[in-house]
Amino acid sequence: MTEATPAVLETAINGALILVSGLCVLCGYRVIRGPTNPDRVVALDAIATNVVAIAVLFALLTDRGLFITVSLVLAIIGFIATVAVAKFVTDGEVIE
Amino acid sequence: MIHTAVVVALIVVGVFFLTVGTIGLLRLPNVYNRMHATSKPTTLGTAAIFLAGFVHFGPGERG
Repeated sequence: MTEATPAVLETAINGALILVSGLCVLCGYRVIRGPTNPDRVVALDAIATNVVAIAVLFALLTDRGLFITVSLVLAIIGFIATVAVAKFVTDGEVIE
Repeated sequence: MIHTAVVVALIVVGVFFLTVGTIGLLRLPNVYNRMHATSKPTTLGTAAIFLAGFVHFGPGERG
């Protein structure tokens, strides 16, 4: 967005953002139509990975280093959520 | 110039691995194959995009 970002880099980041957003929609197909619950857990983990990549690309596009921190926190929360859902699938409850 | 080329190359590598992982998630037959397919973009794709962010911002005052 700023004048320090060259046009080639801005075009590449915009294309990557559009592509990764489309990949999130395609993962949503597996979340909705997944045959079993572990399929949905795996698909939600993939969506969390894509959202982390979107945050880093947004930080590159707007030249704001704060969004790198946002992406790291999203990665940590995605890991915790995946562990909680996996424990729910195997045990039937999260905290006994 | 080289800075921009390195950032664009790392973004292309990361998006490639994310695309391959999502195609594997959609097309492989059972749960364990899909977990195998999505573990690659978690490590390689996101690591390449984070390296692009590190190259862009540098070890300076931010980031």
